[in-house]
Amino acid sequence: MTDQQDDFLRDHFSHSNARLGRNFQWVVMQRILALRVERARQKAILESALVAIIVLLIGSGLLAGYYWYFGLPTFLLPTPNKIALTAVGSLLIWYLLDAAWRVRRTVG
Amino acid sequence: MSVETDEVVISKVLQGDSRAYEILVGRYQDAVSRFIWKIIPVEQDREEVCQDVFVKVYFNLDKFRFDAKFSTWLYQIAYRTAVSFNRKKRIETRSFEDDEFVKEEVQNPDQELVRKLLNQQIGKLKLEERTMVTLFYMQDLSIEDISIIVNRPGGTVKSVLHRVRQKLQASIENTMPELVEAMI
Repeated sequence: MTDQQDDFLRDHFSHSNARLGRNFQWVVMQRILALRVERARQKAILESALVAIIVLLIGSGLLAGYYWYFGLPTFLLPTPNKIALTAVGSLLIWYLLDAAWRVRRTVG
Repeated sequence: MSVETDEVVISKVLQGDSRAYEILVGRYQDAVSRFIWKIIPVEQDREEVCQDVFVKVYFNLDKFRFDAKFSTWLYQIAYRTAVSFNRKKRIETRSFEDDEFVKEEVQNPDQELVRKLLNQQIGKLKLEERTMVTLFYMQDLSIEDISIIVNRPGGTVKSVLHRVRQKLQASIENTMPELVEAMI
């Protein structure tokens, strides 16, 4: 192995010329921006879901504790209609909370 | 006007100045492109991988340790990205002979022949060998830096470089023995 070999190969590689598009920098920055927006969106959705789950868990726990201690009042005894109404109501509240959270994040 | 060091620019980016990242991209895009070119010879793929590299670097900038050289860290990410891209596309070897980027003025037909032959032989090298040769001869990186980038001991890098040099010389000698005397 000689210095001549090294020089020869170095010279060979110095002729390599692989240019990128003129707007390469711009494209990279746009991709970064798009990814940042996407990540922020996903984070907001995850956070809103977490908040909703925590609120539901705490609410359910409090309610269960209350009924366990005081007993279930007659008007709250479960019937199919009441269960369906509660499920739809919960979904609606979840949807409204999530929408409000997203709007808040977007505006903020 | 003094040029800001990579570390200063990185600090700015980490403090929230995203525009400062353009400086780093501008500073290293050609070097990364030349490096990637030796691993991924298809122009569109190369451009895509180069973009991926800079996007990855941006989102991992907080993991950069300031005691290391930024360029070494950048090439490390570039190498991994290119290797995983190759794995997905199953590109291992390819001749660079007809790549548009090797077109240039022909000063000496013999030299041009050797150049073509070398490109062919470099294209036939294993990916890791090609990477080491490119980093050593094209990017002028030290053995130590190369060993960090390809995650191999320095001794292995040295022996691979030695083997590749012998291989390239042998291929030229076998094909054009009369030229070797004049050129090497």
